Amino acid sequence: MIALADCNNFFASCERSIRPELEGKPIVVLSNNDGCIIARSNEAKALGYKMGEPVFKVRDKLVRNQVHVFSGNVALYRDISEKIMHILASECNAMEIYSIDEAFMDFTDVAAPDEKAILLREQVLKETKIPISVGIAKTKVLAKLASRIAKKHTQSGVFVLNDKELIERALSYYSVEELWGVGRKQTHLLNDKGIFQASQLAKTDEAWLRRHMKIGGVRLARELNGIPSFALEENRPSKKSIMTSRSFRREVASFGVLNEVLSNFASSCAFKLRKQETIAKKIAVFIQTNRFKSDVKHHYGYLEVEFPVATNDSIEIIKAVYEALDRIYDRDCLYKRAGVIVSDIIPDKEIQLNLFSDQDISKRAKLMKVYDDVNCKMGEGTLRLSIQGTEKQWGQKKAPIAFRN
Amino acid sequence: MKFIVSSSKLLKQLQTISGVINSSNTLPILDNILFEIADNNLTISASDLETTMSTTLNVEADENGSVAIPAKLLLDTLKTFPEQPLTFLIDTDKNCIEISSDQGKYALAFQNGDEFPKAPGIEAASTALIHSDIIATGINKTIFATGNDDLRPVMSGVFCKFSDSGLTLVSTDAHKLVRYTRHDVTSDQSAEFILPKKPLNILKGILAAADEEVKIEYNETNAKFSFGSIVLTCRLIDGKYPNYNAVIPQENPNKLTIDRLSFLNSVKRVSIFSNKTTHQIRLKIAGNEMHISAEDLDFSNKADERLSCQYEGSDIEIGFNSRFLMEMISNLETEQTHLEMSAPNRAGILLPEGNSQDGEDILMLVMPVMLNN
Repeated sequence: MIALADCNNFFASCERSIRPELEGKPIVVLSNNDGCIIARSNEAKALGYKMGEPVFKVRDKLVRNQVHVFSGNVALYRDISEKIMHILASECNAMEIYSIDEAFMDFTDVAAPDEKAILLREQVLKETKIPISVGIAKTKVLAKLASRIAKKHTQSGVFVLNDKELIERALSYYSVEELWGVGRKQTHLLNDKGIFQASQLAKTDEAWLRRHMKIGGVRLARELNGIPSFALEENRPSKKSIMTSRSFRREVASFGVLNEVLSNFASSCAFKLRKQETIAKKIAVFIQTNRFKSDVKHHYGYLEVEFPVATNDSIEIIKAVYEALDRIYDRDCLYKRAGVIVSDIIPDKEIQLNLFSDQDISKRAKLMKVYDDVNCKMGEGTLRLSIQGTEKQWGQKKAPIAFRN
Repeated sequence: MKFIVSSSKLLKQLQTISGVINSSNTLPILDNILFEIADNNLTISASDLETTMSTTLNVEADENGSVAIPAKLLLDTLKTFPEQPLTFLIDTDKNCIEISSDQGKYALAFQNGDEFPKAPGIEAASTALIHSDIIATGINKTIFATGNDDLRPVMSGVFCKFSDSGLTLVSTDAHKLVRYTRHDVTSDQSAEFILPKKPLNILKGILAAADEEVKIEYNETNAKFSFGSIVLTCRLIDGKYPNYNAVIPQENPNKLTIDRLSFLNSVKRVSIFSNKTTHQIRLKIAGNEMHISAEDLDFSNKADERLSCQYEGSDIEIGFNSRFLMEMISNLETEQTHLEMSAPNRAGILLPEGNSQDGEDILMLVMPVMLNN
């Protein structure tokens, strides 16, 4: 059996977990630069706010409804997520962390999965104040469906989808686009063939699925029929590339500020690389003017650079960013967006050395270890390179005071 | 203007020079081949602005002149003909060429030959005469180790050095390096330049079949290779080549001698089990035995082979990218090969058996992959 634990309204629940006085009050969390709504508490959902709704459309309504509005605080969410995953991992044999707020757990040898899930749910709620839903079934796709049912239709927040009749009822209740792994394109394809309900997909001819949806479609249908076809991926493959990019509140013209911004992005990429014990062979830097302004000079600068030796060293990566920016920067432009992408990521145990580089890799690795330890203990950015600056003038907008009640 | 030429002879020459033409050109005229006729001699040329190549053949012509003819159209047509004389009739008023064969007539538009870029003349040139075999071998031994990084253009070419002690060719991509020296090709004047990869690849193909002296003329900016009816002119890569001699380790107390083919085959087999992105393999040498192993943790794949060898030095464990090792070992030709090492984080040196015989000296360097146990 597979259990999927899914945090309810995760970002909104996180904000509430550190502010208990908001219990029962509507909460929304906004995206980067406060553009759109990306999380809603149940109360906010009931007031009719939509996922991804642009803030400017509902600004007045938010004030009128006395909704508590927060700018996304990724560091907090990541922290709470790690705590939850830790609790879940200690209670099952194997686990796949699927996203920041979801994890598949191996419940194979669990005698009473529903009872165990209820206990687990209580433990998470007690220790982190985050409500979770748990769906239990034979396959990942069914478990995902079960967690939906658990969230919407149960008091306990736990639902076991194992009974044959129950599965049939669930599959005829849900449409194909609500299934895990079915996107817009596949939905169109299936609807054209007259397949609307999940139950219809489960009965679809495999040969047809193979032809039109490749092996993924066949696996999906098998999973719906209770035949496990997607394995639990305990070690999700390391990312092939890591990108950090932002749109700025105000356009930036100065090389110095751009370099500061990009150095911070580079530092964040470097930290992520070290965290997953990998190194990158290449780095790309891009800077972009505002596409929506017609009266200014437009420029999209992009340059990919190969490191002499694949690295996760903040100093080396920031150095490469400077060199790349120097080549692509146009002083006559106002930049709205910039980013750093590290790619060709390989394990940090296998460093191909360079004939012409005399960098002391193990010494630098030790330095980075200290760097991370200090920042982990004392807070992000406590130790940084001076080029990263002290004031993030370019930083993100924070939710305007008027929104905070 | 009119000329008559053998279809197969023309095709052969066109195929020889058409390697210069880029698949997409910023300058449309470069999609053409320049035909120049002077006193019953047809010279055809292709260019990408950096490299220009031309060759000459005899034709029957009624007057002199020059036209630029679309290369692809011409090649595609000529490939289909059996050997026969073809008549090219050039109508300058209509801007059209008519080709007549036994099978029929074909018309195609041409451009004015004067618009075709001319190969630069090489002024104040130094000259060397080298046999085609030597150049072909030199290119074959070195070109595989060149880099592909646009930001380090010097490493994308082959470094050539003429001196009174011999001719040295060097290539490196910063991970591996090859130094090929001919002591039997000496020059009174010493000179250094970097040749780009593309013309060398073209030369490699043609020189293998030629058996003659090649005249090389060069100055600060260009080099020109002439042999038979072929002339190739290329621009040199501008920049300073890295100091390769400084990175060749001098003290290498750990010396391995091993049968080259069994080493190569083992590396090939074991590398199948290595990580798909790093291709890392591990050599563990102790006594007269070498273990070659690889592991791919993502798939729990593992391989370990044992080979007997001759070894002098202390026990060593060193990691390499198997791709690099395979390229290098297969590029050596002798029965036995030597691998000299100093430390697991310093470059290893691959040498053929009996180096420096026949005036030839090959040294290959390969930088290891750092091993973390």
